[in-house]
Amino acid sequence: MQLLSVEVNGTAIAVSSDEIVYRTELGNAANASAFVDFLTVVKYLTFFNEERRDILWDDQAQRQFFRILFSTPTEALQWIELEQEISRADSRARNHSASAFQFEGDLRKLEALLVNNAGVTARLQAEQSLLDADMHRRNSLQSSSADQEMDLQALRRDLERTKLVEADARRGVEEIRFSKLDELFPKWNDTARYIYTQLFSDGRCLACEQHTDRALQLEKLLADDLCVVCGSDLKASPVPHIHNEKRVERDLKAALAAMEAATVQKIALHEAEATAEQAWRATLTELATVTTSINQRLRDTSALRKQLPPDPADIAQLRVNIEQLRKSQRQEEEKRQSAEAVYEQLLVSVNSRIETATGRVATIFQDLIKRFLEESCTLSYTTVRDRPSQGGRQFLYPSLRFEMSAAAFEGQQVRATPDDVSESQRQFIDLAFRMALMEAGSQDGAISLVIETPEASLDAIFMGRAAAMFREFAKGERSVVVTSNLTSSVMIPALMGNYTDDAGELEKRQTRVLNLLKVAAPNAAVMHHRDQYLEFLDQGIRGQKS
Amino acid sequence: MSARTQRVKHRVRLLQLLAAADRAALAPISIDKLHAFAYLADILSPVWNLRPFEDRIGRTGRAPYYPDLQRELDFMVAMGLVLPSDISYVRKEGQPAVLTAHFALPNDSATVKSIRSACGNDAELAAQQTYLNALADALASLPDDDISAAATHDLVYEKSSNESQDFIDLASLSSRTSRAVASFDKAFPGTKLTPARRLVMYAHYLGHRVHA
Repeated sequence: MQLLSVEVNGTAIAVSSDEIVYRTELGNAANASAFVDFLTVVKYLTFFNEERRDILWDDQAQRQFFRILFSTPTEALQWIELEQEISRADSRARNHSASAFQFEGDLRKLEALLVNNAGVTARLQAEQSLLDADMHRRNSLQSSSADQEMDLQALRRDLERTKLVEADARRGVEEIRFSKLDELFPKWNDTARYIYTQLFSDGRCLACEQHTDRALQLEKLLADDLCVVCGSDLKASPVPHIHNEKRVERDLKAALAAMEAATVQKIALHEAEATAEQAWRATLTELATVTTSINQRLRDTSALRKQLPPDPADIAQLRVNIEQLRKSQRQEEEKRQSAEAVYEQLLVSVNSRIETATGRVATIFQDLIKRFLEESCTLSYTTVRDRPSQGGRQFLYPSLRFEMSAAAFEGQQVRATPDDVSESQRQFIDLAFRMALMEAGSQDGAISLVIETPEASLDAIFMGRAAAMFREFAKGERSVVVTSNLTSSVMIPALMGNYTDDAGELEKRQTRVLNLLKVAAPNAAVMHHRDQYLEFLDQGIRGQKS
Repeated sequence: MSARTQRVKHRVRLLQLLAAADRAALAPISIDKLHAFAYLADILSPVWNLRPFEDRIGRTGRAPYYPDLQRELDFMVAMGLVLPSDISYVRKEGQPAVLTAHFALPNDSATVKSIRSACGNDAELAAQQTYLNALADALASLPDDDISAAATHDLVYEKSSNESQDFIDLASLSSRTSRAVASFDKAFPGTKLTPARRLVMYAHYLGHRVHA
């Protein structure tokens, strides 16, 4: 949507993309202090639609309309600007105060820390020294354990190698012995040969696992070709003799020496591994202890750091900040007070005129509402206390209170909230108040009022009364536009006036009707029942039969 | 653990290995197969949520061999708890002598029966026996000559070109678990197998590696 051209009373107004000129000109033409005031009047007074909000029961809304309608544009603008200035200064002052309050709390805590935790620094230094020592020790232990583990792995590798070497050497001894036994005792079974073959391979009895001289004696018997069981000289027996006996003896000695060397080395490596593993595990145990200690010291130092007394320079800076904030707060409060003083003078000047105007409003209102309500109603002048800011001064503002008689009480009662009246009463009381405001505020008497389906909440009797109120208002320069559904046989006839069949009068009345049955896009109901709708409308335009 | 306790544990382990071999019709079992069986039982024990029996084994370039276990086997023969058969010593030129023999539990040994009965009453030993039985069943499905070769071709035991250590630290949790499971995952990616089925699958996988 774009604004193409604007005219006020036939005079063209410049239109620009930002609409500033248009807004200024329109505000001036409406004798409003600002375009927003003009829009407020149009939205809440000219139009009375279903989404309206009540203004009679809203002190702030009343105040705004009194300002717009019953003060000069200059005063209305100054009023708003002063309220904004008061509100801004008050907001800034409160922000400064809140920050200063927070800092003052921090300052108190820091000052308490300064007094209560004077020895914490020394304790922290001592704890930190111990922690540093533990960290150093842990690094050293980690390095040691890594070295020890590598050494241990090397020992294990050597041990496994040596075991295999020993096993190979043992097999060498066994091979020689097995061959000899096989030749000497060919009838022995596998178990016997196996046992005798391995009987003394490490100088230990395979059966009882003991190191004995007897085992060595048996070894000698076998070496001398004597029977290992009865000691008989096997050389004299008919069994075959061993070939290359001297070479076999030499080989056996060499194999035994190799096995013995491997066994000695294995035992030595076994012991070295056990020692190295013990040392490594001791290192790991100490490492775990030191790590636990480090964790505890870290927690302790962290707790001590939180208790550290603050730096005096920080406290001094905090005091400076608080002082600056309080100074700024005072400056803003002074600004607010200055603005409030001017604001008070303005209100004194304007309120007397507003009070006079509200008298007119009350009179007009009473004249209008009596056409609608059976109850006796008045608007009484009063003042309410309020302030344009959250923390600043209070001022007295003019206000109108609605009072209405009730069947159960003597005299009139103040109806302080819209809930104190019925829904239809509420609608027409607030409408009458708006009409009275417009009439009292209009300088040349020209007023437009647009009302959306006023019959919605009314019965047949009150439709007629509402129509009478609108007809009374729509005189002279004033005009009322009403939208109405063809749901009632009362509202449209009542708005039109007395019944007539006069063709001239009917034609005149037709000129005041915007017939949506003709100009709007027809819906399904209109397409099917157009003639019935038109007949209903025609009867309505003819007016109300007395 | 004292040296004596360690030796007793070795002997019980040997009885369990030989009992499982007997049950799977692998007995009498040769030295090579017995040590291969012991090695695979160690390396695959995490599959059954068990700890390996040995804490380490040296890489020899030949089939896995536990000298300490073999020494206890020798003693058990002398005690009459194990029957040897087909004993011979083989020596290739320039290499150490190698004992070849087969071992089995004696059928009529009251002592062996008594020890096995006692082992069956111990929950931990019973669980180990169940595991060894399952592994023996899996290995029995391989051709006879492939069992010791399978252990030699195990991914952990087989020394890679960049492997600096010549022994395997079975006691290391990371090495034994991650390597065994990694071997499975590498062999059977994305599969969800029961432990027993994993053992069978892995045994066959090793069999394929032997002939690869």
